[in-house]
Amino acid sequence: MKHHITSWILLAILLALPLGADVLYSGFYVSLLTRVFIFAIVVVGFDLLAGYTGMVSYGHALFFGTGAYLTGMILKHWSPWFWPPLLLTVLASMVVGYIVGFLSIRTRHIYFVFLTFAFAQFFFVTANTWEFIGATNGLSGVPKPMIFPGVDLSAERSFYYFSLAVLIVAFLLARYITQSAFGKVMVGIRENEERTKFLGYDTQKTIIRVFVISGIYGGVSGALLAGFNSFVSPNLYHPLVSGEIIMMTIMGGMGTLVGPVIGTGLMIILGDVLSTWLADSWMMVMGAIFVAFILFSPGGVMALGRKIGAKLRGTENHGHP
Amino acid sequence: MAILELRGVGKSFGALEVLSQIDLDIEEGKITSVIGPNGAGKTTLFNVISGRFPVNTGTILFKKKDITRMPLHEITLAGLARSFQITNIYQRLSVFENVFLAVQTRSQRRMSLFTRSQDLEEVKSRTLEILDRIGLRRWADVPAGQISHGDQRHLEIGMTLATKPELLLLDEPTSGMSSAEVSQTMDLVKDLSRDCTVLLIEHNMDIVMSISDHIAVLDFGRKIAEGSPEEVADNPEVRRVYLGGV
Amino acid sequence: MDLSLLFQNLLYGVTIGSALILIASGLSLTFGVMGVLNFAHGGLCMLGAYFGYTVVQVTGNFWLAMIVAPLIVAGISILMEVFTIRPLYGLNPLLQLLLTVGLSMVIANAVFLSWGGDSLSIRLPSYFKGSVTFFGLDYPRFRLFVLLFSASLALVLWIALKRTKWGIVIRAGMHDLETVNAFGINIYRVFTLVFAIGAGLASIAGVVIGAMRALNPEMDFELLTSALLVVVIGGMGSFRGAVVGALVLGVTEAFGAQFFTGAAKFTVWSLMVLVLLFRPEGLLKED
Repeated sequence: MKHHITSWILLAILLALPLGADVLYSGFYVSLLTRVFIFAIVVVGFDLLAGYTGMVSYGHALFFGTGAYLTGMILKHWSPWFWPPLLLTVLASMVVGYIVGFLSIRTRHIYFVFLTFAFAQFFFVTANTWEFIGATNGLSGVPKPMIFPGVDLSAERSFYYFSLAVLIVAFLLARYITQSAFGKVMVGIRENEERTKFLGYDTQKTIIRVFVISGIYGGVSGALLAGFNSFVSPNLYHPLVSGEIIMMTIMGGMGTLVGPVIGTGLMIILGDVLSTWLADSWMMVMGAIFVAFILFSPGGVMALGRKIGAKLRGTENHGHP
Repeated sequence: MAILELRGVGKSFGALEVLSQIDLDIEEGKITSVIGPNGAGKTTLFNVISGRFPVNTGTILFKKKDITRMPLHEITLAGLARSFQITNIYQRLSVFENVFLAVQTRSQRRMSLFTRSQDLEEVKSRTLEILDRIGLRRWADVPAGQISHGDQRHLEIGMTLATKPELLLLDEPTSGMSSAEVSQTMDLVKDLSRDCTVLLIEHNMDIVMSISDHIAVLDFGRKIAEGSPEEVADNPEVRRVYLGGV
Repeated sequence: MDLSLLFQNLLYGVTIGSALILIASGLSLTFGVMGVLNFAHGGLCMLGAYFGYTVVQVTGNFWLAMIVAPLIVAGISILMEVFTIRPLYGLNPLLQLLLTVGLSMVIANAVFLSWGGDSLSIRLPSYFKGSVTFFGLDYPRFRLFVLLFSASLALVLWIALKRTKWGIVIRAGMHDLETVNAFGINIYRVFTLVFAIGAGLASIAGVVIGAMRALNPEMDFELLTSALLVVVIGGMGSFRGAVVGALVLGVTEAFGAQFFTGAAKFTVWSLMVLVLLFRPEGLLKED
């Protein structure tokens, strides 16, 4: 019950924020939060795969970049309508997700990390050498997309609300999945894949499905980024991006959906604050914070929150993972 | 009717032959025990039947259907379930969740993205039924890793039961149990055998003799004897293998 | 194609490969013995290169750099292992991997802060300049030195692993940690030793690679991915495999730099994917 009130209050704040921009405070916060919303989408999708199903991929950037390039090219060379490229991105993500997933599920754990890493590198090398999409210079001049006749997203505020809306839909959808019968099987695979197989579940098929779903989240996120930045860089395929996605998920709290959203906000906003104060050493501080999380609170912010909440209530959580 | 038929089943790990030329029929509705010294290949037999490892030679028929190369999960869905020598459950999930997932597998909407698990009423009620049957209702919300060893083994049997098997493979269900827990477990097994065929691996000879309708004896991967408990007890080969002579 | 050009590239490929063996073996040992995939390995290698640069700048002595840099980096790696990696032993290996990712960020940024973002080069002594001619072929002197030096060091490492007491302990640890522990050998000391050796080797390789090319704060990434490729293709925990993998990668890189860069990289990553899918133990069986 307390949770629900906090969510509504938070939503109200987020909805109201752009209204004071440029008047009460800098409009910069609007675009910063828009970035948070966009990245939160790919991270939520990643949590389904890594947090709930236990398959940590080090190549999730491949969905992100593909969505961005596909949407960027369509917006630039064809038409500024957002819906066709969004739809195509979803379809492309499903196809790529199925192929990569189908191949990757022959492996687990560290080999799954390697394989997904390698697949992402394919895309990275391709994006850096394919002249058609800009090679190392990337794809520039992507116009701001249109969502309704006459309504385009060139205003910062519009993109803000649109991304927030997509994030909310994406989040609710993900939560529904985790609460579904399918979601239980996902958790079963994470907790004990062999036992799940022996109960009669086709774990390979399940994992591919999750892979495809999380891929769609990645693609949509990339599509939004292309429209937001008006530019697509081949570095979207860089392992650093895949690494950041993992970091945001872990710092927030794997397997909680809410946690990763918080983690995304934490990393992007903190990154911005740090880079303003510390200029060149923000990455070091960020790395150190991440290391601290792994050593002292691998369950992320959500675990910290639970511990603090338990201490405040005067009870300790015994025996909870 | 033989619910399970093994013909010439053999399994090797590299150069080591663990099972060879196993011919075995399991009668429907009876309790059959597989016994033999350590290393005789009993668990490997279970692994091969349940699809965990592929066979090198031979065929396995379940209800007259060839399951030799069938994927593991399909074998379970076909009605053949097993429990493990080392308890294999979801340690971090609650007892309720453990059984729930097992019961869910028999539901039509078991993998549905669209049905919320809390709406699966039949699954919920059947889960509670099974919890009652195995006597773990009061531990429903406790993480499975925290209940006693004996209760964990009962939980696993319960989960196996939840998949509605026609043939149940129990691998040393009483291992590590106190004598009170052992007799509890044996009552449970007898109860289960009213609904399905039971194939049992057991070391406890008292249990084997009292509960089995039929016994098969393995030694070094071969079947050396088979028959009713009296026949097997009288068998000189069996005596030699277990007692080293006399 | 000019035959001498072909041979030159081949030789360069083998040269790079021999340096890669030094880097990759550290990664392979760490993974084989400790189960930790150290994503900060490229960073340690880079640190070696940069410390080497500084020693040369300060003392003008290249050989001193080859000794001091690995010592410094080995020291840093020991601190890393004891304070950040050791607490995670026995836990999820993915957590360990991610820890090293965080550490690599710290290292890369630290390098940038300390040495700046500009490309640097290590001043070589005059007798390394110019090229050597043999069999009608011209080959840069320093590259020849790198080839001979790295190959010798790799050989020494191989012999050490096979013959010395510690080498045997380490190789045993790769197969069966429990038994090593049962023999009363302090496992944690073994781990620290392995980690430090890996870091030391990588940093020496860093110095020579840095001297052959230029130094920049992004080089850790390329070094890491090269080492990963070698280790996966050659096979985790196999020294011979690392040699084969390193040579394959080195030659591909050498030719790729001259001719089809994109295609070369693509080939290499395809090879890695194929190995992972069909022969995850690597192209060669374990040592």
